[in-house]
Amino acid sequence: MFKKSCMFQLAAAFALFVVLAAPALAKEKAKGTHKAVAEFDFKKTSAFIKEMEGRPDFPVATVIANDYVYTLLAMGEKIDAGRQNAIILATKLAQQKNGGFTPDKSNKNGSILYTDIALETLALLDANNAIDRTKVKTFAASLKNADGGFGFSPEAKKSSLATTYYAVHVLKGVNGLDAVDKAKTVEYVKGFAKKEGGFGPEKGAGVANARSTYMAAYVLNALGAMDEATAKKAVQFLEKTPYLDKKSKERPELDEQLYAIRALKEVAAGNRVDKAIALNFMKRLYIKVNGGFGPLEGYGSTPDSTTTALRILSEIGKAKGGIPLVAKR
Amino acid sequence: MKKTVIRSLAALAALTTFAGVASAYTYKVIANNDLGMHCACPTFEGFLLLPPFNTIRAQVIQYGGDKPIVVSSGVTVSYSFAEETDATLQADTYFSSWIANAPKLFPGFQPVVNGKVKGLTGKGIADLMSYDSQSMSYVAAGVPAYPVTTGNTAKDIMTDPLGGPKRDPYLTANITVKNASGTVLATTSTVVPVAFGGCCSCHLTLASQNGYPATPAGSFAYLGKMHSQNSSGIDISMIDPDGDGKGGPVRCSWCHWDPAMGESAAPGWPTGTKLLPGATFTLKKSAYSFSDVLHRFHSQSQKVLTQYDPNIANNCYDCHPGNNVNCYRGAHKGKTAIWCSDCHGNLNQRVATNQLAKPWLQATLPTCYNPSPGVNSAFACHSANTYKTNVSWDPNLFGKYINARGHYTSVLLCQTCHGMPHGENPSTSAPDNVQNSTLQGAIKAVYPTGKDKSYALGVCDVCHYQKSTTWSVPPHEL
Repeated sequence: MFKKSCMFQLAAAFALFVVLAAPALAKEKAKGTHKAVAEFDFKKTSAFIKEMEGRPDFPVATVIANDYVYTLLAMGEKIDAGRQNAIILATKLAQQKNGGFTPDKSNKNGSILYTDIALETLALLDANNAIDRTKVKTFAASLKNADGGFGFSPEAKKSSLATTYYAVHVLKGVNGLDAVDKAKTVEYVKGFAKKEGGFGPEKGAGVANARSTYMAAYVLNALGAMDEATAKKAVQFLEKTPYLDKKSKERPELDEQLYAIRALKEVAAGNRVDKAIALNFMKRLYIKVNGGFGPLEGYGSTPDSTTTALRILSEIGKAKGGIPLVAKR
Repeated sequence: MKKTVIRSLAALAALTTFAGVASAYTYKVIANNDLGMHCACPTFEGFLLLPPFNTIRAQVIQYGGDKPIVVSSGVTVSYSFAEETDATLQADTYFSSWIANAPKLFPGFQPVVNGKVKGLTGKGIADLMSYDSQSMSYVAAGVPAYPVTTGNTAKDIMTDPLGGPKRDPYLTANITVKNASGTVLATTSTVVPVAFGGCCSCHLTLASQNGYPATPAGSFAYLGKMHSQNSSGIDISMIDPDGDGKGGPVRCSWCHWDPAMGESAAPGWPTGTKLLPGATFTLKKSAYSFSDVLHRFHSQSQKVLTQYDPNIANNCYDCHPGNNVNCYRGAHKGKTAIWCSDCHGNLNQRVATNQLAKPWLQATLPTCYNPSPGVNSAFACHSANTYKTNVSWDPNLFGKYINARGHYTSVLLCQTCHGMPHGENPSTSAPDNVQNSTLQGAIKAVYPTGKDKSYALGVCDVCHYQKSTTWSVPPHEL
């Protein structure tokens, strides 16, 4: 009787343990593993990105470091402390005296583009304070032009929508939006609006694209100047692109797919994102042999295009890594 | 299956015993493409980057007796292509554009003579090769090879940026060696790589994003506009070299000299070239090479960097053949994470070290034991002592790997044993390995762990009669 009772108690205790501990065990098991996304073999994708670990000059360059960090985190992987430190150190070394960051060691001219990329890498590694952020603000503010736009670098001063976006993005990231002449910058950015809706990379002639539409919408939002009419026209433009229009004959592009999603979210139309179109497109770009993604259909994979694909999968909830969308900081 | 059988028969034929020139000997021929990849464009109506111009080299080796001899006379060496003929090339839409525009781009040149396609040097798609004493090889320079659709999905891997069917970028040249009486002494096959780059993919998009049609014509018009925004002010789409009232075709090297076209200074445009009405510029030659302006612009343009590719300095395949072709495919690619930039430098490094001011020169290109000058490779190169070569030539076009000989009395081209640059043996692309695998596979050789018949020629018996069947690193300099 005692024996039976004892056995029952042991069995009950074991059952209780299983019920209580199972979720924690499952969670532990999931740590550092590739959660299943049936369409893609992230184990291969990981191996593809990790090829660069074999390089003595890892992480090579500002963009490549960003590729490595974003992609692995998007897939739910952890980056070991040694490599994190190597990336943070390389990123710190890319910061020049004027506060700007360079693309690699061979180049000493900091620009707003690589500054933005470097800041994202540090944010992903939770290492924002590893660099001099005050200098970053000074650098970005120094690129401000009389037309309200921002230039690329002290050497390439001419304003463009893209460089203005990067400057505002950087300034927002370092709490430096007070350095922006909001009225002028808003006016400058609105000059890129197109009749058919959306924004283009050039003022005047030319057509809208998703990248420019996202960049303009981001700046307008950041400066508190997004209005309903602009947002509505942006959606009208995006509806005609292959990222929302299934009948579009335009060839979809990787970057444009990402910016179409981001643009919709920026104009508060995130519910209009066509996740199925995006996912099918990613499937077509996926290279089964190595797990990477190509920049165009029929092209081989590169770390850059693979990272962009992971950004898209993150945006549509298919990357599973739970990566913070730091680009929206 | 049929092609495999044919290839196997060809391989066996390469070892056929000959009893003509000297009955005690047999002959072997080892052929390679000089550069490992040549660029092609799908249209020639707007502008010409590079013409169809491929070069095949073959070394003929007399085998048997005491020592092998590299043959320099008494034989005829010819080539033909497995995938294309005069008829198929002339029927190809894209190649037809070359045929139509080549006389305008190269005044006086006729791309078809008596129904036969001819390259810029007069070589056809099937022709004889001539002996060249510098390379000690039979050479066919300027072969008008062009990527074609074969219908074999395993071979048609290259994506067409204009949306057409995929094409085969790795053509097969069949090389035949005959004696004076026409008896076949030896045959082999080698890869002749020719592929489209990534230029169209980006520029068609660029055109459409700026209100121009996403066609080669639209791209040419927008390219002209962009070119007019540089310091020259020249809108290349408004240059009318043949006076037909339309812009193009324009050869970039008319104004930007290009060593790949044999130029050391810009030759200028053809007599009779006109400008379209509305043009406000005058034509002028540039002091800068084509390679210089093209690379420098793309690596430094803030528009390119912020709107298209911030990592273009490392993404060589944005422009060079990577559209599922993967030009860089050789032994370096297969071993570890060595990138193009480890040998050549990335674009920022190349600009910083002023390499592009003198492009294509031996002095600015990598060797087996050093990357390009000024480039700090992340990897150690080969030992200069072990892999030294005796003889090199032509410092103005290509690096030492292409233009050098070594081994024994310096009679062998580096690539005769190692394969073509960018596709060195063992290559990650199987067709590159067929020749060496055939030659070494015909011998029951012993290989060190990790190596096999697809590696660089290291089995002495391939060339030396009954010397050794064990694969090893042969002396590179004697």
